Amino acid sequence: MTSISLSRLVDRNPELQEALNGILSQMGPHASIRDYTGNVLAGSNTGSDSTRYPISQNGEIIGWVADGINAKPVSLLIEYFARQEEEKRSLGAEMIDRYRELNLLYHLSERLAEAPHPESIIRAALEEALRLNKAKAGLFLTVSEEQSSPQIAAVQGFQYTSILKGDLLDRVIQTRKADIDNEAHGEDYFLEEKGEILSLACAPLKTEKRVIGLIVLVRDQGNTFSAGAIKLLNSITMQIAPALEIIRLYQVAVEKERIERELLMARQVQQSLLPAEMPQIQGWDFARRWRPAREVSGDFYDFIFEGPDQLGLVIADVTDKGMPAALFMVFARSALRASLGQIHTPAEAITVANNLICRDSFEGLFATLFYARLMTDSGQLTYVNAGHNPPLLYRSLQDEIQLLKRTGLPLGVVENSDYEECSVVLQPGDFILFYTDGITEAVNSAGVEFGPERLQRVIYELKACSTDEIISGLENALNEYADPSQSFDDITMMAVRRM
Amino acid sequence: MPSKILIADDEAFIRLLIEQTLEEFENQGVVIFTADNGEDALDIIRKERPELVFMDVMMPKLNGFEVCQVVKRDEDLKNIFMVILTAKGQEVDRLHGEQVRADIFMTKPFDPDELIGIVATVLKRS
Repeated sequence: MTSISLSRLVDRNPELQEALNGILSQMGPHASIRDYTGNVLAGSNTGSDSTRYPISQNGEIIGWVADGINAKPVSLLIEYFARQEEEKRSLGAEMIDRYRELNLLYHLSERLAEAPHPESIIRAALEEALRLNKAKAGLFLTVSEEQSSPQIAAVQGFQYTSILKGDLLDRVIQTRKADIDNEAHGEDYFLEEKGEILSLACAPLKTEKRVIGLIVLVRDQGNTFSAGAIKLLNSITMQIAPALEIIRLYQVAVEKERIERELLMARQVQQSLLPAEMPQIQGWDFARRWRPAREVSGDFYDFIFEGPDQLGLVIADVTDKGMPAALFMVFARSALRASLGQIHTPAEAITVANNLICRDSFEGLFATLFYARLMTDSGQLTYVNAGHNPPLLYRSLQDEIQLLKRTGLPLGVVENSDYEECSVVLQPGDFILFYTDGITEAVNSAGVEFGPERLQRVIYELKACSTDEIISGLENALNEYADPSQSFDDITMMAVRRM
Repeated sequence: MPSKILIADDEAFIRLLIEQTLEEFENQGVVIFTADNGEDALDIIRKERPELVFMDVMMPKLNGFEVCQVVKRDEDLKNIFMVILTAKGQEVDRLHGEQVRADIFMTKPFDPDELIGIVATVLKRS
């Protein structure tokens, strides 16, 4: 600790001055108090300072009692005052530090409230940390699981652009506690640094789960950091870490909301591509259900009025779920509609659609599709099954279920693939259930799939119902069976009965 | 002529804190005066003409607002930079400070760095 100035001590203590003047007059006409250099602070300046007694503080001479008897007790009295003054000053210094700390927190809170952006918070934190700790430079580093070492988010005081992962930073991240290294080798920390020894202080920005950032302060060698610096730095990081985390979570929430809004719009667009109404044809009964796993779906179905007494029926399922599947679905639907406009037979139409899709195919995506052309006057149904789950045809006369099996590969797999077409005639009472694999692949809590056999049993039991009831009945059976905690696939069903 | 600063506060410890905060100026030759009541403060202001005064509000004899008002109404003294430094932080106090044309109204606990900044600016200007 540096000793205080004797002249300042005497100047600021009128009581001491008065006491000294009284004592000095008793000591003799030439007695005086002099500072370290010999200037008279009290008493007479007529005497010499050849016979003098030192006044010391912390082992340092700060002045003299000169030219008089009983100099020693006077010196002891002044030393006592000096010690008192020193204690007061040390308390004062402590109090000024507390004032600084208090005002720092106040300023930071104010800046956080004024500009709740991560960049301005980081800048404010770094500025305050540097100012209060009298550091020559400071860095704000972000820490994330994706980065192997901390990244510089802000720098003040020097131009370093690359930071290496020094021991101190590692330690602070692992222990989640602030620390100092007053003998740090600069080149271990900064790429541009060459052989300088630095004093470093580092404090973590903590959330409940992890360290999200670090503040690093730099001083030159010898100008060491103390425990007080850590405390001060901690009070900064503890205040801004929650603020930054709240902003991050808020941004995540806003982004999520934006995506959800877009997905909702996408769903509306996609729904508008599906038939708004069921065909109303004398002697026929139609029903359908479309239930996407997410906001949008890779499943689709279609009723296409191709001519008098001629209705196209489509059900399709794109591999994958969500947005990629939905986009592919729109593409596949357009390709099919375009092909149907030009070509006459179902097999030709599907061949053309497949080639269109193959040429512009998305990586790894394809669609299974069942297309049937129903002559509503005769009940003749000509179909192509491009890799789709075989629809169930209930024959009322035989009282049995038949499967409309595959007649070719899914669309988008092999260009110039051959597609066969098959034909059946629906008799009154017959019906067909078209579905996607979301039904047969739904799993129960034991992980067992609903499966095609169970589907056939359920449909057989519903054979006497209307198409609406068949679909509702199947949906109920599925809901009862499936484990709600398991993610499910897109589900589409379509039923057609000849009355 | 050395620059002069007056610290007026009836609490000795606060005077000491402000003085200690401004030590670096004192080391450069700035003279710091202190007063523990309003009357003494006004006497020192008239006699020494400091460039800057840190003035507490609640003081015996004359309070800080009264001293400030006298200074700012006096043609010879009105350019002295008056800082009201008080623990009374209500808006009404701040308005009172404005009424008596204090140059700055600061609350305790003061920000040591802000104090240093004010002194540096005022002394540089004068």
